[in-house]
Amino acid sequence: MNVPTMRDFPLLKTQVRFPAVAGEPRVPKIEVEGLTIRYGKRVAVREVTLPLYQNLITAIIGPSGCGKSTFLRALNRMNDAIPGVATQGCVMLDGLNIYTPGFDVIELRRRVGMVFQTPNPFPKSIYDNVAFGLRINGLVSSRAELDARIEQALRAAALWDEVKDRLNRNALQLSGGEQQRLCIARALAVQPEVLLMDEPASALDPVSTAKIEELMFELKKDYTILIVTHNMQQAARVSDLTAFLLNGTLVEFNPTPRLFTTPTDSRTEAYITGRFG
Amino acid sequence: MSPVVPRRLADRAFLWLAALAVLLIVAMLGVILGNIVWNGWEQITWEFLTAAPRVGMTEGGIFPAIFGTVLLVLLMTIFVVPLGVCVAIYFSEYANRESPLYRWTRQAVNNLAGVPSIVFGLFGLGFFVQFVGRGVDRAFYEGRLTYGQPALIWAALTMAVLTLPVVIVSVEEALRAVPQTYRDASYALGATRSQTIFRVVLPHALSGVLTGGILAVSRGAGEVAPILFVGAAYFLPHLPTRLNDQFMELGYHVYVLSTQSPDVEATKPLLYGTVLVLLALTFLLNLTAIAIRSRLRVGAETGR
Repeated sequence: MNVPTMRDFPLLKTQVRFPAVAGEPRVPKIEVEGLTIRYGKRVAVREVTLPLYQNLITAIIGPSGCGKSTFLRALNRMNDAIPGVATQGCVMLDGLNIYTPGFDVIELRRRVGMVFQTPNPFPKSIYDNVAFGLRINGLVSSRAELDARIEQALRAAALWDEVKDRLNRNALQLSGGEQQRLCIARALAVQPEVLLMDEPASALDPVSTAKIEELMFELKKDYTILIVTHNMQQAARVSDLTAFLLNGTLVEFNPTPRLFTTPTDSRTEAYITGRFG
Repeated sequence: MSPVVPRRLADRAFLWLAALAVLLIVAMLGVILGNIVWNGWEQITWEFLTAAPRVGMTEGGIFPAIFGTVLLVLLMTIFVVPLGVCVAIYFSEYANRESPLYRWTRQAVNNLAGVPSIVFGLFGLGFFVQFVGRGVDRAFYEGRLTYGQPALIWAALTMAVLTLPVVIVSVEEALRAVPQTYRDASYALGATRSQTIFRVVLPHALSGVLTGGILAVSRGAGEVAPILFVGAAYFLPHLPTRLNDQFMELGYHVYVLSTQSPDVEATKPLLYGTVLVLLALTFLLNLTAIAIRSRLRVGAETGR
């Protein structure tokens, strides 16, 4: 693990305090610095430097296979389990590199929650799905507290009113959109600080997609959100900042309106106008 | 004549050949089952199922053999299922497929499945009875012959070794069928590997574990050779009550009735009855395994 110290990060320097979004300079919740990820010999992500800010939604767009999911999974070290993956560079969460040897991965994943591309609730009851993270992490001490935290998480995921009368029903009986919101509730239940969303609406119909996007606006008040999407309209609708990734390289990172109206890189322009990808 | 015609003829001929082969198999099974059911049916009375053999096994029932069989396979299940599940978990969840350790252990399991059952019997006699049993006697019973002889527990352990590959393969298959997305979801919530295995993977693979257990039982119930030397008895006046008792067993009883009887003609009806009971038992167990598997599989997919 090489920890870059005084290395030059031109992109980061210009982006850390771009003023367009919030008025005053912010400290990033997560700072990705010089992240390179290899699958064996193939480089999936190359020297990516990117800050993620609290209360903002950052979107990563790019064609299939550009490394966006790999990048996302690096932020809670979900790539660790995949054989042959080598990660270089650092990911600073509140100033601490999560790739430092001995860093508590379990605690990291509690703090950095994740929602997957296809809804993947456990084949258990709705209640037990949301309770899972709370139970395994030993976060609650009584049944009443568990009940309360579950209601809170389901409300936060805008699912409570739909499921409050059938918490003991199997989660697989819910519709796809409900399942995905259940997965969001499950991730929120352990009170993470960051939410990683890997194409969370790609398997959903337009109505369910709209609900998820609406939900994201609510969630951004409390969380740092990173969403990976191949749907440019979605990125334009929901995100504050957009990063364009191409062949594992970060081509452009800008406030969303600017990236979609006046991209600075010709490749970004080519991509968003539909000339490839 | 165009060359198409012989080609078509050959095609047609092969179809008939294949159909004939299938018919032959079905007929063989039909003859075996028909013969047994036809001749054994009359024997299945309440007395036959609940009484002990009498008059040099030419009269009476087979209750001690049924009892011994059930006891044997129960005890075997207690040994083989936890061990088999552990090995399957290692193979499916922990082992690195490239590592030599994985390749060797995998090969060992495959070889175990190919060992003739009589060899297991001899292994049981040499290892469990003579080595472990005698060792236990020396250590705890001042050398008095207690466990150092053929006994229920050694038979169950021998049978467990024999059926281990069945359990491993069945459970492993079920573990591998658990979608990776469930594991991902669990890890992403901060679960450790063992939490993921015991709370997500294993519950989802429960049908496979049960099927593995039942398949092992049905395999075990049908084997005679492994227990010939390690605990099965020709005839016992009492039911086994302790782990170091000998026992009667259905398969062995069939062997005894057919080869060791003083009057073959007199034991023939009893033999038919015993075989029918043994067949029904294994058939029922297999059926249960299939039923559990399909029921749990449907349940897992639809959430009902």
